[in-house]
Parts: sequence; structure tokens; C-alpha cells
Amino acid sequence: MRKLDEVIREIMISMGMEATSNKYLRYYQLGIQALDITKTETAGADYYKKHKKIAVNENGVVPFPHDYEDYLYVGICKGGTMVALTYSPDMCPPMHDDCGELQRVTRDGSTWYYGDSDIYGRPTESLSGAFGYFKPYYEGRYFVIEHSGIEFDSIELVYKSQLYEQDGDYMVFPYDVEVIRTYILARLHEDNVMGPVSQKQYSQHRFISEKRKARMKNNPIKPQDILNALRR
Amino acid sequence: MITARTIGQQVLDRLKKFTSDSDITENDCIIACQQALSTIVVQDYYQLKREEGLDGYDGSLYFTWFDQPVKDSEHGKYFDLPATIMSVPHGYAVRIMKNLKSRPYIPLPAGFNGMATGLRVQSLGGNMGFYILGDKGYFAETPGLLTPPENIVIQMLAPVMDVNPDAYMAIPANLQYRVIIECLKQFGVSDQLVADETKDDVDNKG
Repeated sequence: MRKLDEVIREIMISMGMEATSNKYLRYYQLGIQALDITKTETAGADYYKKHKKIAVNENGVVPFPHDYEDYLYVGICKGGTMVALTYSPDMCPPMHDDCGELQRVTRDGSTWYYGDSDIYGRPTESLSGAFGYFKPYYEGRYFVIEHSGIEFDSIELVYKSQLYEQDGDYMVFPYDVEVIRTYILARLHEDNVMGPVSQKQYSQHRFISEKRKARMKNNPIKPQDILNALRR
Repeated sequence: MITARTIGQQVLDRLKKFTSDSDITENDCIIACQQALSTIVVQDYYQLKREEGLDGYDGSLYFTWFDQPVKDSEHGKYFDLPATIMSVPHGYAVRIMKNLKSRPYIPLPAGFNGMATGLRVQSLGGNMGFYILGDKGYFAETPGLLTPPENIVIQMLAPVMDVNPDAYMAIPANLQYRVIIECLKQFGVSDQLVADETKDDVDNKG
């Protein structure tokens, strides 16, 4: 991966300007916007997928990681195997005690877990319930976790993260560099009110084209995909 | 290498060929040369941009001050500008850096601290930035742990107004010529002629 700062400076130099001008601020802002686009439109399926083991607090909640955006999987590690917790939309929000601390959620009817579960946390051998339950609370930026009998002190969280950061800068995946460059050019041409419409259309077309190419490069076809298509 | 005084003397010498009783002093010529140089430098930016598509200035127009101290105040760390700043586009008037081998800090608009607070662009790619307010430069507040060094190198674009008239300046020869021409135009007698309004309209003879 490359730093966005490097990419922006290269773009500015290639356009015949000094990278020490105060245009850097504008170009860097456009670069961040372009990164947002690459993240949602061209990134590979697992580019922004992160896996973290996070401790469950005494009050039964797990705070979101600082770069959390959305969860993909919540589970625990049991005997070397990932076992999913079950999303429970009807779980009450945790109450506060007299000291203002969150209280652990315990529900009547929670049952012990007796058998294996599938990847979605549903029991496969027993109908007696799930291993545990979770529900995200975005306002407080935490998950509420409830166990069904067997205690666990940490969860395995697979989540979609925000942009990658390093040394105060954002990181760019290699195939996305050209997308960022064409996006900046398209925006500059678009904002130039005196510029010809053909130039605006051309640069917009190039941006869309580069975006499509980056999406294909970031998500190459695997042999299994071809087999799946043939078996359709 | 040439000094502002030398250019001023050249202007004065040429003026004396046209008039001997002029009250224009050498000091007047030096100031006029400095102002003309500043104007030409700004004009050149736009001309270069239009004709070549280039953005920026030639390195020979930059003056360098080494070991300039960074000071502290309640508004943040700042440095004093060693000369009067030129008004040129896109923050090209001042460059600052830790040393000549390091990357220059990023020039920013004056309201950066308030404008960018909390935004992702505030990180400036992990770089340090600064903005100019009057005769001082302030370092930008960035979310990282970046702190300015104790001493910096300051480069300014043609800061001739505050430079000693006897100090050597690396002004290219073609630019010297243009400065002299501009000054001669300013002091030349032709510009001081009063227009004769009785003869300027041939169609109005009656």
C-alpha cells in the first residue's frame, strides 16, 4: 500500500506545479474523497475487513474499535473453532445502576448451549438456544453481549473498518492510485466553469473507466467462480 | 550577482543622459527597482502559467535564511518573517523547512485551524503545515504528535524591500534588464507629459 500523501504529491508534480503550494490542501481533500469512493466501489471484498479479539467488560458490553464501521461477524473462539453469537434484536438496552455504570443484561429464558452451531450461530444439534447473543448500540458505540450459560471473557469481532491509517496519513491500495488521479482531474475540470464541456465529459469518462478497471483488478476471477458459473 | 544599489545607480545613470537637473535621488531609484522587481515576479507567474502551464517559481528568486528561531505563544508556535512578504498566488512567497534536505512544510490558508478542526484533511498526510498572518507564520494544529523544530530554514520569494541595498542578490540578468526598463518608464519624461486635449481629436475641428 502507498501513502495518500505520496500519491497527491506525484499528481501535483506531474501536473507541473510545486507540491509546496497551498493547493496541496485542496488536492489532499479531493484525494480523501477519492479514497472513500475506492473503498465503496472498487475495493476487494476483504480489503477493509479486520479481525480483532476484544475483551468483554464486566458490565457485559464490548466497545467498538476506533475504526469500526460495521460488523461482519461476532463470535467467540471455542476449542480452536469460531462459534458465532446470535444477533438478538429484541434485547433490551443495558440499564445504568446507581453509580451510572452499565448493568449486565440478563434475560429470563436464556438457555444453555448443548451442541455445535453453524456459521450463523444457530444450533445444529440442539434446539435449546444459542451460545450467546449480541446487539450493537451505535449511539453508545458498543455491543451488548449476553451469554447463555457458559461464560466467555472476550469475543472475536470481524468488522468493516474505516480507511487505513499510518503515520497520520491514509493508505492507498496499488490499483486505486489511477482512480484517485482521474477523480482529482475530473473534479478539477468539473469545477472549472470556463472549461469546455467535452473536457469535462472526457475526464469523467476516464474516471469511470479507471474505476471499473480497478474493481476488476481488485476482485480477480477465481477458478471457483468459473466453476460456479458453469454449474448454474 | 548584483546589489539593489547597483541597479538603482544604473537607472539613475541612464536618466541623467536625458536630463541633468532631475531631482530623482539614488534612493528613489532603489525603491522603484525593488517595487518593479516584485511586480514583474507576480506578472511572470501568470504568464508562465498561461504559456507553459507551469506553476511555481525559479529557485534563483528565493532568498534563504538559516537557523531562524521558532517561538512560543498562547496561539501556538510561530516564527517571525525576516522580510516583507510578497503577495503571490498559492503561498509561493514563503517556504519553510527544517533544513534544506527536508521536505518544506505545507502552506495553508490563514483560517486553517478553525476550518479543518475535526476533519480528516486536518492530518495533512502526516505533514506539518503553517500559515502566514501579517509578519508572522504560525504552525498548524494537526492531530498527530508533530512538533516544529527549534530552528527552521526560511526561504522567501524576492524579499528585496527589506534586504540591505548593498547585499548581493541572485537576480537573473534578463530580469535585471526588465527591472531597469520598468524604472525608466516610471521616471521617464514621456510619462510626465500632459496630454494636449486641444489636438487629440482630429474629427472635432469644427
